[in-house]
Amino acid sequence: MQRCETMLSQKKILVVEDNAINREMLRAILSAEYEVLEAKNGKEALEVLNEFGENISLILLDIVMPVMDGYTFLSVVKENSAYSAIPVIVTTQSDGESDEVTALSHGAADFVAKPYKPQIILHRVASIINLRETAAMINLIQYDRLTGLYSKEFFYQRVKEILIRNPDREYDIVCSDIENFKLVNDAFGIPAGDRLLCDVAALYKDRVGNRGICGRFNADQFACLLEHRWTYTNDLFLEALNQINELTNARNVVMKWGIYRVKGRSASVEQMCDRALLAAQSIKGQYGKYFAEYNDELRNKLLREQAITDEMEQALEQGQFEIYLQPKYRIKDDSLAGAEALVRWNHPKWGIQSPAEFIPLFEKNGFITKLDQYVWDKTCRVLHEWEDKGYPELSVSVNVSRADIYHADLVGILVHTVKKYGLPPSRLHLEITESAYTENPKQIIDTVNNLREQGFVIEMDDFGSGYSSLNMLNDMPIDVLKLDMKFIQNETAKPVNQGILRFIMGLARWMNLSVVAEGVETGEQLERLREIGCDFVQGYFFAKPMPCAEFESLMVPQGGLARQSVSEMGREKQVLLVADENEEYRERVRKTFEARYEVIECSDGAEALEKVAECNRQVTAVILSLELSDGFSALEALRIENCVWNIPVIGTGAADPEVEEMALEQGAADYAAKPHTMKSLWKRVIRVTGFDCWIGEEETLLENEVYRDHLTSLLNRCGLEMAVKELKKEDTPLAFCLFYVGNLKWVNGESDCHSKNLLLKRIGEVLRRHTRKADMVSRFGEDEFVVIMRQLGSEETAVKKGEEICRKIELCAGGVSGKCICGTEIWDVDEPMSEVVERAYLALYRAKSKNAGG
Amino acid sequence: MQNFKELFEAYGADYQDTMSRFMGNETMYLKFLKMLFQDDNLRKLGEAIDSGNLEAAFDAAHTLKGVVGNMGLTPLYKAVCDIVQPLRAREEREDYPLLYQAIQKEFLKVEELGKKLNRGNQNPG
Repeated sequence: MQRCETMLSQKKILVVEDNAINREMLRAILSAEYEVLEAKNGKEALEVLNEFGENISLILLDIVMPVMDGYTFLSVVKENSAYSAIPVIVTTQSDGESDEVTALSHGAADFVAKPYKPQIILHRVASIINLRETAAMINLIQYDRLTGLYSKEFFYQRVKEILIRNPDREYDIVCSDIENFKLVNDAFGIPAGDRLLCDVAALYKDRVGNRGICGRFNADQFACLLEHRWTYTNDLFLEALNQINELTNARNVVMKWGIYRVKGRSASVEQMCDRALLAAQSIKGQYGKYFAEYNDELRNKLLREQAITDEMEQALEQGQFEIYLQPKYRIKDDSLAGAEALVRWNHPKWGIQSPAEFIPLFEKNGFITKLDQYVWDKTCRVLHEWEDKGYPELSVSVNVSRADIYHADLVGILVHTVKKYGLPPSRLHLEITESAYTENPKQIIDTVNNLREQGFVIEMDDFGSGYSSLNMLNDMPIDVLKLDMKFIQNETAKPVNQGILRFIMGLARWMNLSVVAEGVETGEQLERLREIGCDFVQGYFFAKPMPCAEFESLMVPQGGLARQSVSEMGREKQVLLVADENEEYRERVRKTFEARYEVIECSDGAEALEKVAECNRQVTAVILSLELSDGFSALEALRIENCVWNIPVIGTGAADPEVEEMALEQGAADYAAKPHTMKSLWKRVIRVTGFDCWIGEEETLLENEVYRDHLTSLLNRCGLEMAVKELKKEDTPLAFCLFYVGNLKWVNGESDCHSKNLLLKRIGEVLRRHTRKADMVSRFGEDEFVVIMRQLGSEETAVKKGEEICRKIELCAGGVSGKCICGTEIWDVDEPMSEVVERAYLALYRAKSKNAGG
Repeated sequence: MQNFKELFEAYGADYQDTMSRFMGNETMYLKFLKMLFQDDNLRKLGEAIDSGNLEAAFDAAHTLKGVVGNMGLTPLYKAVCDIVQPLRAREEREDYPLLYQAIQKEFLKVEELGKKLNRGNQNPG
């Protein structure tokens, strides 16, 4: 074992010498310290080099050899980058200086003379190896290992030198950034990401050539220095991007370039590069814009950000941040139910600052955590003061930013804050943004559980603004749902009965959550919210955020009038009404449903109507016996009232087809013939209250937002991944076709966004038309589509079908531009999708290089 | 009986200098000497001179020079040097066979030396 390790750690020396005695002798001299490899001539030596490459530390080379002489060998070695760095010591006879000079001029590092002097050989070998290793270290730092471009530091150094040496010349620094590079690594693996980086590096080398220098910064950031000679156009960069996409197997990489024009020499090179990168970042996500120059506008924005950053700590110390409260009202009786604490920055010189400007910046630079803690503290102080002044015990919600969730002692800090002011944690509501869940579900679930255990009330902020997921609602232990105003603004425009909003309300009821709609700005919005049973509203329609003193004037000092606050509301159960002549039956219904509903029992129809009127819309459903003398008249009354209430009624009675038919005609949502089990009654209740559509239409509507490509309405990549999970063995063999539609960007000769979108839509339609209903069609990437066809046995058929679709797509593009290529692979669901995707890309690439497929 | 060092020096070689190349190991030296007797460069040199191929003659002589130099066989080394010099310049000369004979003569002496050294080595004392 130990021996093995020494073997591995021993440096290798290649002795190239035609004479066996000399070889043996060198081996005898060297083998105590090195592992000696031997070659009889240049040809053999190259074979050894191919095998061991740079693992060879040094070559000892005899110049006069048969087959391939030493000089030829030297030239070959020095030309090949794989081993040109290996130092070569030439062994010469001591009889002519000329040999030595020639050898050195061919790239030999040193020479030793025959007859050998062991001490001298060992000494020279050791020092040359050492020299080379040190140089290699420097090399490693000078060059980016992966791409061979300059490293960041070395690039800076070289740029500095060039700028100093040429004070009168104008230069440009061009930097680039790959959008969502992490996604490339994630989706296709690190090696694919690395390949992409090498391709980008090659593009830089190619385009810049001898006119400048190139470097690679972090991960996917590249930079080059060019003499300022031309004006940059979008097309120039688009062409470069197309070239990258051609190289990289059409994976729809998007790159953004930023340019900093070096006029003076006042900024540091680091700053210049930063500015170029900032320019690139400023157009992130902007379709069709590939480069941006660092200019005054950007400069001012950055200066402004810098000024804010410079001032923020002091502002916090001096109490420039002020708490504003925005009231929340209960819809039922328009009463004040609580508030949300918001922060305003009242700067002594700049005046009131917009949170929209400084909050995102604080989120970026981490200051948000400090500011949040400040707001929590100030809010608790306000609540404490209210107690002293005898105001009602309203609860106030505060924001908990995403960064706070990651704070190790979030719970401790919050508990300490409420304790400091002697408040129960339930007075402080914590608004946690929905998007935090998408980032790190486990962390946030743990944190929220912890906070709830301590007694805090959790409000899910911005629900509906991002990737709303029903899973999240299921996993997250929350108390209150806050609907984002934008979401509501869209929703209130749609017919009330079809809205997702109604479904969410039902869901919230089902989960015992109360709902706060924020950003309510019009009376119409309020009425819609009232109709669907939303509990609380917040928005300009009622009141803007206001200073605490102003808010206090809204409150009437009252010694403990029990007002229902936002959190209590949510805990109130929905009512299930059972009107039946049989007391035992009512009892059974109560026992079955009481965990979920407050069950109200009545023994006749009139009483039932009374209770419904009392409870207003809190009634989820009515189980009404039609055997009651006034059963049918109660049903009739409910039907008329239902225009307002929309309460489903389940009629019960004898197993009589005529009665059943009449009940349904009179507006009963369902009819349960007696006798029936409580389990079947439970199912009926669930169905009539609408929760059977958990996996139904309305959920699909909501999920569509997440799983569908908005442009083509095809499944997006995420949606395809979900859909694929449903595939079963019976569906196999599957044909996995990956389509790439090239040159889309050149429709109308320009990168015209509108016509491109139109074309993509048409392609979506073509794909749907030419596939079966059971097949899965997805927009997989920017210009990539995937079709998964079920039960398509032969690869030949699959390929044919793929090519047919390609032709249809090209036809639909009107021959203007599109070139469609397809990679088709047969897939068995047991294989992970990522692998078949990889195979399909390879097939696509092959088709592309053959220029086949269309 | 003379020992290795005496025999070696009697032949005309530098014991100290040479043996440093062989880590002072006489057995190793003998092994290499045996390899020298199996080496075909002397034969190649003869053939090349016979056929007038100066290129091949130089290659063989050059190699031989390196080897015998390493072996510290000074008299033979000098004889080889005498022929390498003109061959390097590819001089057309009449006396190559003579120079070659001189090498052969020296080579025989080395063979004699080898036998003696081996005998001494086998029966020490």
